[in-house]
Parts: sequence; structure tokens; C-alpha cells
Amino acid sequence: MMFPSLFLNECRQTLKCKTYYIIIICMLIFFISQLSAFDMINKPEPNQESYGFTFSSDERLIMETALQVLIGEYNANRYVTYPIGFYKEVTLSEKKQAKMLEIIREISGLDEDELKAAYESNGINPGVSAEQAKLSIAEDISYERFMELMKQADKLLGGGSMYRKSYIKYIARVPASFNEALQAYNDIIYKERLTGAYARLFCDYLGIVLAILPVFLAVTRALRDKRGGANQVIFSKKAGSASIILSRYLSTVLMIMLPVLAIAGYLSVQFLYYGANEGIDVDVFAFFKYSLFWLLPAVMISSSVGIFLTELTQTAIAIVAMGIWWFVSMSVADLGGGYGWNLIPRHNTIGNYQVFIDNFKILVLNRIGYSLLAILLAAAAVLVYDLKRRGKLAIYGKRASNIKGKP
Amino acid sequence: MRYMERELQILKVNLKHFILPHLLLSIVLMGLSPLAIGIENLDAQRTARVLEMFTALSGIIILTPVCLPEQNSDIRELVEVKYLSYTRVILARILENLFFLMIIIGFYIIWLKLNNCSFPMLKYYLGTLAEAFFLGGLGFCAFMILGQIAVGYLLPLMYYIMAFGGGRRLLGSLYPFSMIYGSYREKFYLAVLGLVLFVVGVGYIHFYKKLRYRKRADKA
Repeated sequence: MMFPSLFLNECRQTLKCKTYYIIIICMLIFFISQLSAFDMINKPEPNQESYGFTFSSDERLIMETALQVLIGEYNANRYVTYPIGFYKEVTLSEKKQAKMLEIIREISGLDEDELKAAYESNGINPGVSAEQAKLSIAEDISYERFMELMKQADKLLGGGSMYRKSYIKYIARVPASFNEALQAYNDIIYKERLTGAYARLFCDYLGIVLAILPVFLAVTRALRDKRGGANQVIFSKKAGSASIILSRYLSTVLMIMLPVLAIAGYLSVQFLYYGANEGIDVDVFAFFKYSLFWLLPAVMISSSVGIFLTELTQTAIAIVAMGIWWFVSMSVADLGGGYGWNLIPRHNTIGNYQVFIDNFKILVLNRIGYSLLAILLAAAAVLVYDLKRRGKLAIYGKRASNIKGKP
Repeated sequence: MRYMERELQILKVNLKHFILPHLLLSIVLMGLSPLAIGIENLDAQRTARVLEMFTALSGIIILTPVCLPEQNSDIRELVEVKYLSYTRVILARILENLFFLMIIIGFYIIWLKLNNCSFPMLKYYLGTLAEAFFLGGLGFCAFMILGQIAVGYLLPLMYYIMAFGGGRRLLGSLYPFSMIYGSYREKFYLAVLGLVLFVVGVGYIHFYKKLRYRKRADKA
């Protein structure tokens, strides 16, 4: 019976906390500035001037374009990489350049002199198209082997290059046709029932702030006892450590999710109204489903890191830790839907349904994995708190003081 | 002379017990940056990107927690009964933290130059410092007024995220990544606003304390 009353008490405490309202304001400002006016999709018409662009999935074109970029970089020995999103120019040693040459030779089927001649006569560089560069691929090379070689090239460069698996599929950019544009439109209307596509974009943006904002609330809450000098009093209370910490943790998660679900509700009503006017059968619950599936794990992680590290150190170090994690996640994120194991999976476009489906399995694993990690961290916070109550860890946090033998 | 001794003592204690971990964190992050960020042979635009999007964040780490010691209730109570003006203590700490921030950013800029990056050194140094000063000022002011270190870190980080997502369109004259586009006007505004935020933060705590003393005296 202790837990429900503690949980409700924590929710009430959060409602009295200034940090909570500042977080909500920040969330709303971010939402309004980024997503207040969705661009509604239009059905493509024949003979339009342009249907935008798409990334070719033609394996030969991908291979030709990648080879052309690689030869240009090889000849200059200046390779562009983005290991955590920031530009990094890599210059290879002679030994690694020789390995890179082997890769190029296998893909092109040309020897060193032929490569040099091709480079000089066709002006191959990253700005020249494969067609202009008159490049050809070795007849006997398969796409699978090509991908293996690209992986090796990326490894030689230390990762984050244009030859990495997540980027290579975007290397050959071509104009979209009417049929492709129509297919994308139909996917959004019939397969995603409109709201699915927009809910993903909603999660893409909200995920950015929800991976970092909860840590501030968790830290504020955990530091409040220290600031008010209330640790000793709470330690001597009857309530179990698990009840105290988990009620804090769950109330933090719930109180952060409430405004998110409120925004999801607001958008659902807007789309319901739009769908009724346009004769589109929309999925009313899409924003809620996506919020719980996509955003909740990030909120859980951010809150658990906040509670665990603050209970352990009694400092605001969790903000720095989460800040660094956030910075790296944002920097390496693939905006086009290559979710991987990133804490902030991005899908910065309306639609692109096929990419979502292709990567759905890894996204599910990603979200479940982070949820489990969050639960583990919350359990670790309970353990730390319990040890402190028993006097086995320093009450005022500085672990060094414990080493000195102080209570 | 006695006056100076006291001030020096404040600076010594601040460095030894409070600001050192924050300085070390900044130094470690910058020292490790070549592992992830290219800092060799960069042109002016790419150098600006590194300085504005990464280096300037040290302002939040170093300047925001000026009054962190007083988060501890014991220290807070002790400080309140001291004869020495708390405002003067804060001012001394701010200047010391700012001094170290200037040194750290300065060294990083020299490092970039030694790594064959081509950029206008003084302009970029002042521009980066202005942004770091503003970010730190925003955190410091929020911390002073709201009394919670978490909010002190939250507001400058949110501003940074907004700049990341919203760009120049959203933040206009206060856009922090303007050097990437070759503009320094925004840096001037940021420096001035940063100064205002520090003045507001210090002023708030100065008058708030006076008010508290007066109330206590009235009660007594």
C-alpha cells in the first residue's frame, strides 16, 4: 500500500516543481517552432515539372557512383568522414593507401596506370557524375562483394565515411518519376492511413528533446533531498528503498509523458478533422501508438540515467553524461531512417514508408533494448539508495568520503 | 593588502574545491575531440563549425556552476552568516571561471592553428568566447534566479538545441552559429546579452539576500 501513496505524492511534488514547468515550456517551444504547421502532402499529377528526387536502388548505379567518389578521394588522399557528424578529413598512410588501391582495383578491374589515366582524362572527383566520369565496374563483381569491399574501405578510414553501409544506399541521387511519387503518396494514404507518416515525423522531432529533458527533472528531484538536508529523515522512514526510488522514477516518466500525450491528442484531433474533410480514413491512435513505442524508451533512459547517477554521486553529473550521450547520438543519427542502435532514431521525412518497414525489426530491438537498460539503471539506483540507507555508501554522496571511513 | 589576501583566498578555494572538476571535464572533452572531430586542415567555415557547435559548450560547463557550492544546505547557511559580502565572492568566482574559460578556448584555437586550419584567429577567438559567455550567462542567471542547477544547465542546452534545429530563421540576431556564415554581428549581441545576464544574476542574488536579511532583522 506504500507504493501508490508514494507515487501520488511524487507526482504532486513534481507539479510543484519549477523545473517541470520549464521543461514543458521548452518542449512546447520546440514543438511549435519545428512542427506547428505540418506540410500536408498533395497527390502528384502527371507532367509536373518535378517530383522531387529519390535515391536510386539500381545496384550498378550505386557501385559506379561510389567508385567514382572513391577514386577521386584516393587520388587526393583526402577522404571525407563524419565519425560523429562533424567533418573529419582523413589522410591514409602508404600502407593503407595500398590497401585502398586494392579495393578500387577489384571494383573497377583496372590496374594502377589505367586508374590514373582514367582519373586524368575524365576529371574524376566527387563533384563529377558517374556518367560524366565514364566509369565502369568490373564485369564479374557482385553487389554483395562490392558491399564487403565498401565495408573494408570504411574500416580503413575509421568509420563514418561515405562508404559505410547506412550511407551507401543514398550515394546515387536521381530525379523521382511520376510513378514513384504516386507510389509514395499511396503508401501514406492507404498503408499508413495518413497519421502514421506524420506521427513518425512527430517522433523524429520530439525524440530530440525527450532524450535529454527528463534528465533535468530526475536530477532536480534527486538533488532536492540533499539541498533541503532531508536525506537523513527519509532514510529513517519505514518505506522500502524500492518504493521510494521507483515511485520517483515512474512519476518522472509519467509526468514527462503526459504533455507528450496531450500534444499527440491535439494532433490526432487536427488530423481527424482534416481526414474527414478530405475523405481520408485516418488512424486516430497513430500519434499515441508511436509516442509510446518510439518516445517512451528515450524518456525512460534519460530519467533512469538521471536518477541513478544522482543517487550515486549526489551531483548533477548525470546532466553532463546524458548531454554527451545526446550530443553523440544526434551527431551520428541517420536522418533518413537508418535507425540502428541510436538512442535518438531519426526519420526526418514524411513517408518513406519502405525504409521504415525495412528497418522496423532493428527499431523494435532498439526500443526494447533501451527500455530494458532503463529498467536495469532504475534497479541499480534502488541498490545504491539502499546501500546508503544502510550506511554502506556515503550519505552526502562524495564517494571519497566513504573511502575515508566516514558514514 | 588584506583585502587582496581575502580575494586570493576565495579564488584559491574556488579553484581547488569547486571549479577544478569542471575545468578538467572541459579539457578532457577538448583533448579527446580529435578522436571524433576533424581538427586538421580545416577551412574557415569548418573551423567555425567546430568552434561554435562544440568548443563554445565549455561556457555552460565552466560558467554555469559558479554558485554550485551553495546547493549544499550546510555551506549555504555558513555563507549567509559570514561578514564578507556574498556578492563579492560570486564576482570573484565569475572572473576566475571566465579567466580559465578564456585560456582553455585560447589554447584550443592555437591548437587548431597549429594543425594547419586556416581562419582569422582573433575574430574566431572572440566569437567563440562571446557564444560561450552567453551560454554560461544564461545558465548562471537561470541558476541564480530559480535556485536549481538543473535549470541552469537546461536553458542554455535548450537554446543550443533550438539553434541546432531551428537555425537562423528562428533565432535571428541571437543565432549562435553565425561565424559559419561569415557573420560576426550576432556575436556582439550575444556578448552584450551575456553580460546583461550575469549582471541580472548577480543583482538578483544581491538584492534577494538583502531582502532576506531585512526580513530576518524585522522578525528579530
